[in-house]
Formats: sequence, structure tokens, C-alpha cells
Amino acid sequence: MATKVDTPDDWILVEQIRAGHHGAFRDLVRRYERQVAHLIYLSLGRPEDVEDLSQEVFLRVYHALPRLEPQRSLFSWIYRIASNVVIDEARRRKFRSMLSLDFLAAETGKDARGSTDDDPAVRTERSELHGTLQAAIRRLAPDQRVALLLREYEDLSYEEIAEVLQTSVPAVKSRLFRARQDLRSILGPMMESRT
Amino acid sequence: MNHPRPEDLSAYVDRTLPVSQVRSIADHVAACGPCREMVQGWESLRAAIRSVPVVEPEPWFAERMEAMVAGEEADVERWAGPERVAGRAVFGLAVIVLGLLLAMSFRQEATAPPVDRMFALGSGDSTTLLASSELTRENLLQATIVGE
Ligand SMILES: [Zn+2]
Repeated sequence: MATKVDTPDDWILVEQIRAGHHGAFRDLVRRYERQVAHLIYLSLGRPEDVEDLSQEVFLRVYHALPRLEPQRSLFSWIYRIASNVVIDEARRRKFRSMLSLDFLAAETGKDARGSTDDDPAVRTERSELHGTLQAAIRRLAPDQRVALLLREYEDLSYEEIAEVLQTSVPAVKSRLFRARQDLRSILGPMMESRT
Repeated sequence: MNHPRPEDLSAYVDRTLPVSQVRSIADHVAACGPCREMVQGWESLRAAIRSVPVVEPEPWFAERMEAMVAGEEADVERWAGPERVAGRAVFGLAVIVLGLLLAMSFRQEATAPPVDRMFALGSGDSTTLLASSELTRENLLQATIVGE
């Protein structure tokens, strides 16, 4: 399946990488590093994870490239690898966060880039909203979380999300619905008071 | 009033429904308070999610990945490159010699075990010790899992 993000020279890059051109791999990384970083950061919420996990994603990409079937969408395929890394890490972290329940509390209110607003009160409020939202997103089941982020941040179609998550379109539809329902019940009155 | 399925309402928010379905849901949402509230709630949730700032990749990340895979391959070639045949031959010889030495030492043990080792094997202490240490490790693991 061709996606709107796929460009014809994705496959030229793949051929060059297979032929041993490391510069082509650099170009491939450059093409998708931003999307991968977004997915990792939004799913796990810690800027310090982005580099290590991005590295893991692209190393997996590199080692799996020789076995990649040519008809596949490269973008969906890289996203699938990134999603698997993120889902594994989220599960590991949930396991760990049960040991220290202050994880969510410590993460709430954190903001990676900060706001550009000059008013400190507005900035604090926005940063709190973002922190609370991210903490709530991280409490979703990992497959729901990834589906939601692919939809809201990357604007992928249901078909593309289904390809990334190796599932059906109806499953994506119900996953997104459940993600939204769960998010609203996690956020509860906070969202109502702000809308 | 027959409400649309909630999954369809969510897909309506995503604007992924066929036109015919969009029209009937839009009409329903306009007339039905609870469905309208659900749709509006999801739309403001979407706006909030999209306003969360993201991090940018580290500068020179792509260059570092390039260097990393180039380095990995250089490591592999050091062992598998055709120009390293002599090196591999030396390595292979070393493995054979080591294997022979090991085999010889085993034969020696089989024919004449040292007295202290015979004693330890016969007493059963080592077995007990092993079992109890494994039990402790298992207990610890159990405690960790229960604790979580
Ligand atoms: Zn209704």
C-alpha cells in the first residue's frame, strides 16, 4: 500500500542501503527521524528516552531491511517497528512504575519544549494541561495509545493505522473509539472545566 | 431516538466515514444532545492533544546512526573479511588446541578425582546448598512479583 508519506525514492534508498551505502541509510533516518521521535516522546513522555529508543528503532530497521518485501510501504513498516519498540517499552515501564507509583506524579506538569507564551500564569496552566494530558495518554492501553497518536499527530488514515498495527480497519475504528472514551474518563472533570 | 454506534461517532470525528453516513450522522448530532456532547468532547480532546508540544530529534542523529552501522559492519568484516583468512586459521587452531587440552583434563579427572572433590560430592552438601540458594532466588522473585 502506498501512503501519502511514501515517496518513490524510498525504495531507491533501500536498494542503496542493501548495496552497502551507509550514506543512504543516513538519508533514510533523516527522512523519518522526526516522526519516530514524536511517537516515542508522545507515548512515553520523557524527552530523555527519545534518542536511545530512536536509535533502537533505526538499528532494527537497518537489520531488517534485507528481508523487507518491496511492495510494502516503507513508512508504515518503519512506524510498525517504532510502535513495537514503544509498546514494549510502555509495558516494561508500566511494570516498573508499579514499583514506584510516583512515576505519573513526577511526569505530570513536565513540558519538553516549554511554551512560548510570555505570561507565566498562562504558561504554567498550559504546561499543566499538557502534562496531565500526556500522563492520561500514557495510561491508555499501549495499542490504543499508538493508534490515537498515529491518528491525531500523523493524520494517518484508518487503513494506514491498520497496516502499521497489523490489524483490521474495524479494529482500528474500535480502538480509537475506546482510546477516546478511556481518555475522557481518565481526564474526567478536568476537560469539562476547560471546554 | 436511535443513536449511531459510538464507533461511528468517533469515526465521524475523524472524518473517515462515507459521505452518505456522514450526512445522516450530522443530522442526528444536530438533533441529539447526548451525541452532540460526545462529539464535541472528542473534538476538544483532539484540539488539546494536538497542542501538546513534541521534541525534535537530536541534531546529527542521522549522522551518528550512519557511523554506528558503518562501525558495526567494520567489526563484522574484521572477523569475516576474505583478507582475514590467516587470522581465522590461527583462531581455529587455537580453538582446536584448547579443545584438546580440555579433553585431556577431563580424562584425568575421570581416572583420578582429587580427594577433596570426592568428599564434597559424596556428602550431598553441595546439592543441598544449590537447592536452597535457588529457593531463595525464587522466593525473592515471588516477593517482587507479589510486591508489584
Ligand atoms: Zn444520539
